[in-house]
Amino acid sequence: MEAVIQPMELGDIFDRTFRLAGRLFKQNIIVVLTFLAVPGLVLAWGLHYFYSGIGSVNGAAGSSDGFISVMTGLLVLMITGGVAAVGYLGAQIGVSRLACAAIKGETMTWQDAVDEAFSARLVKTIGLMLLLYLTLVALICGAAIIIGILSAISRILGLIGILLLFGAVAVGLFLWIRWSVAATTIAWENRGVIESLDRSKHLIAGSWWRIFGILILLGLVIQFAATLVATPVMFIFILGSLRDIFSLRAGAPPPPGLMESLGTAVGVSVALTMILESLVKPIYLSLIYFDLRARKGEFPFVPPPPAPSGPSDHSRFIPGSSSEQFPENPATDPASPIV
Amino acid sequence: MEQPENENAGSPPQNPGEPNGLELDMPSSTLERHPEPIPADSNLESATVGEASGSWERSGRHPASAAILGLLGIGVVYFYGQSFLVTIAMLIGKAAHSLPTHRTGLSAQIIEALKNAKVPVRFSLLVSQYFLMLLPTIWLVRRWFTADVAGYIRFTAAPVSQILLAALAALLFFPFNVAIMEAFLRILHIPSLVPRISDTVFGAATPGEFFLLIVVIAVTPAICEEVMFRGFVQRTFENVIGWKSILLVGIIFGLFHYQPLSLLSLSGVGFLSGFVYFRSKSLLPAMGVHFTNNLLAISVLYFRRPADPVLVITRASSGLLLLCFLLEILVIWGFVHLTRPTEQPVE
Repeated sequence: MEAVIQPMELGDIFDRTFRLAGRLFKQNIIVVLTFLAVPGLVLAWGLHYFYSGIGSVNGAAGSSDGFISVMTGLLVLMITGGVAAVGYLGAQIGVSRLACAAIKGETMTWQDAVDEAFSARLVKTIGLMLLLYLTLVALICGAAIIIGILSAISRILGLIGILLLFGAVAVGLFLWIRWSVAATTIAWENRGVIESLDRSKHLIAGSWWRIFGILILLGLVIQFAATLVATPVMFIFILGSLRDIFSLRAGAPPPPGLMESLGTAVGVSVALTMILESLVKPIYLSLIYFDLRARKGEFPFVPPPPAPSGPSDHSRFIPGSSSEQFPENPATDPASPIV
Repeated sequence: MEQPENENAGSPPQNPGEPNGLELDMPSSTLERHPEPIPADSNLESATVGEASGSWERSGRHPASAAILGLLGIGVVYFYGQSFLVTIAMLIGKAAHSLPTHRTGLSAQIIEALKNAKVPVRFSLLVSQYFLMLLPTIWLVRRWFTADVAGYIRFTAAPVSQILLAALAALLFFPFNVAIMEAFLRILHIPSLVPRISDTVFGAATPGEFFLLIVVIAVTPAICEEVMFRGFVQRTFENVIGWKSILLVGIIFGLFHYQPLSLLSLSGVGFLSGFVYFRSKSLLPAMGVHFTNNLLAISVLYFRRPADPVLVITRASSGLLLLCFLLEILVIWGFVHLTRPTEQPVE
């Protein structure tokens, strides 16, 4: 049965994000690992290689070998980073599909989600992300170029030109929020890149500050949770190097494996963070997407159930309690007008 | 409102009284509704705590979501805020350090105090604990759940015997914490410089400073962190996953300190604190555990022998550990016995 979707308050979005994350955890983790397990390891290796290149500069200081090592490491990092980015986007699409289906009351298995993510949607999402990042880079670089030109004319103009940088950042932020549900639009509605940007712009019109606040709050919260988990994991990978560092005598060169282990630690931490974010971020973006659609009147309006009279009972939070006063699904209530 | 998917909904609990775990299933028509009342279980509090008037409960949102959001939200506020405060305090201390020292009177004493880096750190810790952890927790509980905050977090009277036993349990657990830390220091060859840094910040040179440290390091976290972790987070999770909340919140407690070397020992303190809170249905024994552990830590720093070259913690012998282990079991058993539910007299 089609679910009834209504505008949500901030607390509802938070609440349903965690509920859906819990309910869909098994399916989501399979989808995320399908897309990110190997790319994550590839990225970790890429960072390990990059840091090793930096570490080898110590032994080849002043020679071209050190420069070649760093540039090679940078190239490898860019390639492995690209692979991980594609995996990340695929995971986002898959989890978005599952979340949207759950919100709509439809059935979807993780196999369906993976199949549909490995489709034109992935190509469109890659195109969307490239377009977004190029736009932001163009804004920042354009401002930097103008600042450089103004600085060449006079220092005061250069200082004034720094205001341009702040302006570019503000414009970039505005566009980032305005286009924040474009990826979800591609995932669920399978629209084109430009069409999804227009759709996102239309949905967010009139709600920019609200969406900005939600995304900032949830972004901070999820990032904090990811660092809580990633910090001890990172520590484990640099444990051996810590021992080497603390065993050093004064003036001795750093151990050769230090940068390598640091690179591995950073790589594993980044991969783990990507996996954890992929489990939650598409869910709240999907909820925001449906909330915005409901606010635009794309779903029939249903009056909220009347507030219960009398004192609330804490026991309703115990599963199976007969005193549950706020059923999640008013459609099961015989008195509900929804059929 | 969303219609939950029967296919994707978690399976209904086999035992009617058994919580659903962390799957956070949306209530649906498939959820069993039992004609008989849930069997009485003193460890699953079902009684009301005053009249619930919070916005979270009125809206029918899941309590576990509130606990997760509150935990992470307060964590963000606390850590970012504390980092900001420490930065400001260190800048003030640095500025004070460069001032001429010919001043006399109270200002000179204040300037002298500010020169020492440990003062800004302790002050920022004090302020951040009360204003960035305790107050937001109280505000959230009041806003989301009930105006009777003290009742919700179980800041209620407890028998003195329970508080004393909890403190004794923390005392006996302390050597294990020491042993874990010693093992890490030995394995990692951590030089004496590292523990001496913490000694500088958390060590006291005078009785007055020691008393101040008791307030900052022992009393303050015992109040603020226990209110947040046990009073709010564990109390809320208990509604969903029962006794497993002890383990979950204990691990989160350890992670929150961002000290990988101390993760095991901090989580152990968290487990102990959560256990006594769960059994006693009062926050005071948990505060006793936390206070005792922290008091022991700063006491060791204060009363250690000056000639001790490397360690700022006492050495724990295997014999002492074994004795403490046996006594700990006895104390835990005693606490369980003290907090067992009393049978209602038959009328």
